[in-house]
Amino acid sequence: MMELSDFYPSPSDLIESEIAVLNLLRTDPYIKETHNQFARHASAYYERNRDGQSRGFEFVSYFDVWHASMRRQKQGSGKQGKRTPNVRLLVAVRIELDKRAFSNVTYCLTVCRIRSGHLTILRKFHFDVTGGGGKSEPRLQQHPLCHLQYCGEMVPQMATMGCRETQLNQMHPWLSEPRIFFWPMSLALLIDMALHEFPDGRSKKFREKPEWRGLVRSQEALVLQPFYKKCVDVIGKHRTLADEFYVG
Amino acid sequence: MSISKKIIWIDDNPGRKRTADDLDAKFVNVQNKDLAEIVVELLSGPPPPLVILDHVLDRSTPKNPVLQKGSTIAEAFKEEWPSCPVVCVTSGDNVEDIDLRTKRTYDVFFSFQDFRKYIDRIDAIRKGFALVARTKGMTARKLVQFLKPPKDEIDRLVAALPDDLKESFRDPSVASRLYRWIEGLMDRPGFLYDRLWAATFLGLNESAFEKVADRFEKGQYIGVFARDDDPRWWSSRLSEILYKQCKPKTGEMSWHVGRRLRGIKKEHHSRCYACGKEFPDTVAYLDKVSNQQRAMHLECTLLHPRFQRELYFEDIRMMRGQ
Repeated sequence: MMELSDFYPSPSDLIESEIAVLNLLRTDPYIKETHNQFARHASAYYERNRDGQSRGFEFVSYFDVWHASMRRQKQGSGKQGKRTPNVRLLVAVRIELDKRAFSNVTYCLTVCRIRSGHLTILRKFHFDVTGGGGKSEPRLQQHPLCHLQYCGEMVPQMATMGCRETQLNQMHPWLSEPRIFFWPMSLALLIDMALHEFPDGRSKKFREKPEWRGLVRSQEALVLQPFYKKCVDVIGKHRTLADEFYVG
Repeated sequence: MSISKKIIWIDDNPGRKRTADDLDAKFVNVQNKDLAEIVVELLSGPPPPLVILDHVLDRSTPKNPVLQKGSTIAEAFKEEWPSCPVVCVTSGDNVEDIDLRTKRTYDVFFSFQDFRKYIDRIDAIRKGFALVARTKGMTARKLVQFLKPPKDEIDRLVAALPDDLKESFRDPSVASRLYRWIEGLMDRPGFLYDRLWAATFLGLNESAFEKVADRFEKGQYIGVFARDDDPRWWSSRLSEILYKQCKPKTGEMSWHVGRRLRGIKKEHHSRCYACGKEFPDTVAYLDKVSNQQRAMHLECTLLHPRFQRELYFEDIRMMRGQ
C-alpha cells in the first residue's frame, strides 16, 4: 500500500513553505491595497504559525471580488468605475499533525455570494490529504490518499463571516462521497487558482509577479512534482492509480 | 575630532538653568548677549554630544528677529556638526505657531512645560547619535541592527527603510535621518505597537495589559532611541511570547488567546468602542479630527482620510459614522 511519504513532502517542509506564502501575502502591495483584510489575516496567521511546526498550520481568510457572471448586481459599479464586490472567496487551510506526522490536511475553497447582511454559499470544495499519523478512525470504505470533495463541513470561521449552516445543509455535507482522486493542494496553488478563476483588475498582474510565480513554482515542485512522478511510475508498472492511491 | 562631554543648552531665560543642571548640561545664557558671537565661539570648539536650543531667543542681541530664532542657530550647528542632535525647547504657548518645516530644522521638538518627562528620552537621543557616529562601515543591515529587532523582522525592516537610509551612509546626517525614521516606526503601528495596540492585540483593555506587561518584557523595544516614558512592543514578539504561554486553539487569533493569560478576568477584556461587542481587532481614531484612539472592530471603522496606506504598517483608521 502506498505511503503518504512516497509522494508528499514532510510536515516541516510543507509548513515551512506555507509560512513563506503567508510572509509574501502579508506585505504584497496588491494584497495589502485590494484585499487588506486578507493581508491582515496573513500577517496574524504568519505570526501564529511560524514557530508552531509541531502544532501544525492554520489559515483562514477571504477575497471579496466582483465577478462578472454574477447576475444579481445590475448596478455593480461604484466610484471611479470600481465594482462593488459581489463574491467572497473563502480560503482555509488546516494541517493537523500528530507526533510530527500528518493526521489530516485540508485546503478549502468556498465561493459565496455577498448579500446585504449575510453570505450565500454557492460552491464549496475541500482538497484533502489523509495522513497516516494518529489514531486512524475505522472507515466504511476505501478512499484516495489525496482527493477533492464537494461541500464538506462548515469551516468554523464561516459562521462568524455570515454564512448560514442551513444553506450548507442543502448540499448534504454529511455525504463525503465521491472523494475524487485529485492532486495534492497547497496554499499558493489554491490562491493562484482562486484569483485565476475570479480575476479582478489587478490580480493578473499579481499572479505574474516573479515573487509570486516563484512561490507557486516552488510549491509545484514540492507538492505536485513528486505526486505526478509517482503517478507516472504507477502507470508505467501496469497498475492503476486507484490500485495504489486508495487506502482503507 | 574630539567631542565635548557636556550637552550645551542655549537659552535667553536664565530660569531654565536648573533644568539644564539636572541634565548635567552646560547652560549658555544669551540674555542681553551677542548671540552670533557666542554661536561662532561655540562652533570653533569641539561638537557637544547634544545641543538644546530655545526656539525664541528674542532677549539676546543684536535685535534681529531672524537671527534670534533657535531654528537659524540650529541650521548653523547642523551644517558644522551634522552628527550632533539638536533639540528644541520652547514654551508651550507658541508651539502651534511654528510651521512644520521650521520644526524639522531640529531633530526633536519639546515643550518646556513637559520637559522633565523627556529627560530620559533626551539621554537616549544623545546615546543613539553617538552610537551611530562611532559605527564604522555602515550598511542598511547595520542601521537596522541598532533597533535590536527580532531576527525575523530584519529583512522587512531593511525593505521598509526609506531610500535615503538605504544608501548615503557616509553622509554624516545619517543619525538624524535614522532618528526621524525610528520616530515614525514608533508612531505608526506595524512593526511596533504602543500600549493600546498591544492591549487590543491581546484582547485586553489597557489597564489589564499593565497587569501582564511584565510577561511581555522581552517584546519591549529597547533599541536605539527607545522611549522609556512611552514604550513600544515588537508586534511579532508579542505573538511569539503569547503563543508560548497559551497555545492557540483552532480558529483562535491573538485577541482570543490573550484572554486565557493567567489572571485575566472578564472585566479585563477589550470591547469595541463603536458597537460595544467583544473582540475588537484594531485601533482607530474617534473621527478625522480627534487625536483620541480606541479599540474597535475593523468593520466599525474606515480608512482615515489623512493617512495613506503603507506597505509594512497597519492602516490608520477612524470610527465609521452612524
